[in-house]
Amino acid sequence: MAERAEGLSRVGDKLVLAACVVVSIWMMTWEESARVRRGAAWLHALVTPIEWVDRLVDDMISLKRDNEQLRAQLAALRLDLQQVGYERQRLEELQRRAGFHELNRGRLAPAEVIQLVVSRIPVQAKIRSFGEDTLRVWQPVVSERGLVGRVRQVLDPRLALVQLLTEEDSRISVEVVRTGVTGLLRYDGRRFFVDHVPQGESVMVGDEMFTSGLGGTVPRGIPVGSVVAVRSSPSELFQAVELESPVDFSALRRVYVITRPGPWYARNFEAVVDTQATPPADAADPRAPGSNGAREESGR
Amino acid sequence: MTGLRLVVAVFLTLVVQLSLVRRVAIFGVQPDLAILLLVLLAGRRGPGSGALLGFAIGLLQDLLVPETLGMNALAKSVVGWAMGKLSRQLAMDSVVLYLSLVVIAVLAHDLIYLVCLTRLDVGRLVMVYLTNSLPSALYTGLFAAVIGGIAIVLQQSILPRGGERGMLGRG
Repeated sequence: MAERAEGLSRVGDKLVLAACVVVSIWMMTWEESARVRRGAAWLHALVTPIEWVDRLVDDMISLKRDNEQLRAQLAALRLDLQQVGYERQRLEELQRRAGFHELNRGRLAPAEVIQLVVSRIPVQAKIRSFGEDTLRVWQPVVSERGLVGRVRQVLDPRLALVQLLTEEDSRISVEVVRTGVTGLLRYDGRRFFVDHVPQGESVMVGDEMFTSGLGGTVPRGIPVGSVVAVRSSPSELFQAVELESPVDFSALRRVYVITRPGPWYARNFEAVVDTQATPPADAADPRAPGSNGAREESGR
Repeated sequence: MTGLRLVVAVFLTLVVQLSLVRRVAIFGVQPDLAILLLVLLAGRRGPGSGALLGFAIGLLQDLLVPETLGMNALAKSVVGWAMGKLSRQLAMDSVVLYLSLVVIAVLAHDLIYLVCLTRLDVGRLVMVYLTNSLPSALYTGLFAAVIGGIAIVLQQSILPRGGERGMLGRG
């Protein structure tokens, strides 16, 4: 009797297995039906909060690790900054003892672009300064990214026309930061080029270029762009160096006029930028006529 | 183990498999807790229940990735049935034997699953089997040994005292 029951049990086990196998194989032939999708959604709804918590734990762990790394970097940078400050003091002391002129801090007057004269791209800008300093012709104009141009015409002490670097007449003396090789920056209507770079001088793609200060109007050390192509031919006197400017001339809104050149470093940026004056009410309102962003198409 | 406990155990195992297990992955190889649970339960309940449990666990896993619907269910049904059968025929008092069964179960499961998944693409099957299934089987065996070791230590440190209390209570 017991043997018979055991035999039936064995047959039952085999039947269960067969049923499971058959159903599994049958399920493999299913297209993804609405029922399957509902079942999957139901299971995912159960699992999702757990996955969410799991991801949260992951994020917390990585956040903690990143935070520790950043703290270490911050500490290192603070130490570096202290060292730089110390070296700067020493340099200024040495310069003073050697008879150099006492160094002044540079000064930037914030200004708002109220009009852009556009050829293919903007070539001239009308700006309104908020600074105390009076604007003068040939004062350099910069943005946070680099040199923008120079004041070409002063309309009143706070209003001026700026010749952008993209104007074809514009020429600025620039140098390769790595080697000190100088040249003249010009724009040909499509791209920036640096002229008068003799053959054999080392200029490489990726080289950063700053203003050289040789022209006398623009101080040395303002970023101008980086080299994107160098073409050198033995039959030519000079190399053709193509440059890319970091400044987006089509999106100029805020610029700074360098009203007093000098080292830009200071304990904080506010000490450098002249923020005594506040923008006039009409300048603060972007909807005011002739205000921020008004463009004038030039017939050029 | 009652039905409710069984459901909770299966659900917890799947949750741990989806979340915590990847934290102990070594070079992307993870232990297969679902198989571990299946071997354990099938060994206690026999081949029929093993097949049914395997089918249920596999179906839940398949529902998480509906493209593989039926594959896990099939592989786990067969493995559950086989483990139930083997546990009746073998004396399961040896730890080494139990761990070997776990490794064999993972290997057998992955073989069936990969045959279905690759549709008998032998090259792909062999590559995945060697690079993933084999290490996973060994890792699952190792994991089972560690978990088993912890369970034995806990059992020895907690249960005797509980037993004494029980006897005292009855006395």
